[in-house]
Amino acid sequence: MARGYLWLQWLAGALLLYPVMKFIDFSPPKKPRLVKVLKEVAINGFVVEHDFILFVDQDGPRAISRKCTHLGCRLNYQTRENVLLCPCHQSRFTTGGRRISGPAPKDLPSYPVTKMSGNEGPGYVVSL
Amino acid sequence: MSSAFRFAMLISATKWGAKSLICLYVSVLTGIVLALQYDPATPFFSVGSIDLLAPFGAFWRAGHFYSSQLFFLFSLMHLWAVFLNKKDEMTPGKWLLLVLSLPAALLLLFTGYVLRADATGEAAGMIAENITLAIPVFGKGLNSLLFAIEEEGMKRVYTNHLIGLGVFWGICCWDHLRRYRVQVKEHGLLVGLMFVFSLLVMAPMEPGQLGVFHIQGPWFFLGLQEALRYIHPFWAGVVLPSTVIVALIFIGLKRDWRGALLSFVVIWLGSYALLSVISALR
Repeated sequence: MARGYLWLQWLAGALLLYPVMKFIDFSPPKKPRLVKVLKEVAINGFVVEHDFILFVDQDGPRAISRKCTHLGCRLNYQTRENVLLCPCHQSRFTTGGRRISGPAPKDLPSYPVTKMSGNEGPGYVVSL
Repeated sequence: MSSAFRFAMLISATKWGAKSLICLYVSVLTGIVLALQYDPATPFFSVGSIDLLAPFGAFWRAGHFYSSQLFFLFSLMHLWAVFLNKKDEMTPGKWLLLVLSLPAALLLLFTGYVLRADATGEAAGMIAENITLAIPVFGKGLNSLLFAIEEEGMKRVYTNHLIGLGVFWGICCWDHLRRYRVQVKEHGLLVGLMFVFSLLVMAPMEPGQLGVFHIQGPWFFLGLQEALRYIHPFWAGVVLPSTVIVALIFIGLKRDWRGALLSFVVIWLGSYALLSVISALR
């Protein structure tokens, strides 16, 4: 009898894990985040922000994610070789986000960029 | 008497467990003081303020950092001494709990690194999160439980560092610690040295900088960082580290396998040390 109760106690404990994990797993939906870059970037220039690098060339501005697709380390832009380099495991990407080498499995995502003008002043809005 | 034998005698005769516990006391005390200033919503700014602006902030953070490091190192030495002394008096259940206290202690140390949110901490946190997510079926839930840095920032890491992991470690070691009493006054020199060292040497802090193309994780993370270059995150970050924990567990469960399992642990540690050296030299 006691052994049967022990089994029930373990089962009840295990069942309690389900609502615990469902509760922990919930995260409230997040609104898209708009990041303003409040300066004009020259053609072939770039700006490094926390989550992306904004490149501006003849085709216009583009924001490339700084999150490495391997394990999420924050990439830096190496101007000498014109590549994005992961400081953790040295994955390399083009400034367009295409994977060149290293353990990263995928290309980097890019984010929509809008150029600000007029009263808003020179700059860019990046939607993350 | 050979020098190797004398060294083994010294290791087995030293009360590493007591030293480890004293360091844990200091770590908890300094941790409580730090927690009164630390804000997980702005972790890097908060740690920077503690280091640079708060009176004695650098001292308290250094005290917490170095005592925590020593706590973990002395715990490992304690385990080594147990093997040298060849004590076989523990029940399998108690041994299992004590072995599980090791990954808990390592995670306590690791989450401390992550919480400072500097270049190393931020990268280490993201790597840990992605390794956890690479675990089939349970990865997402486990990440929600331990890290969830991408979604929640430092909130859950902080909760686990402050409460969850400490409680888990306490449960694992409860019976063990009830049996061995440690007096702080018997370790005054160790406590004094820790506080003096903390006054003189600041805890590490590496602000994220543009143009940094190589960062190294915490010392215990280096081997893993190197392995992650070649092996899939699930195998490098979960399966390989688990093998040594499983081997340690079975040392206490299967007495006949002890020699083979100990050899495996030594080879594992040697390989990990080699990977760490390669990573450190990059």
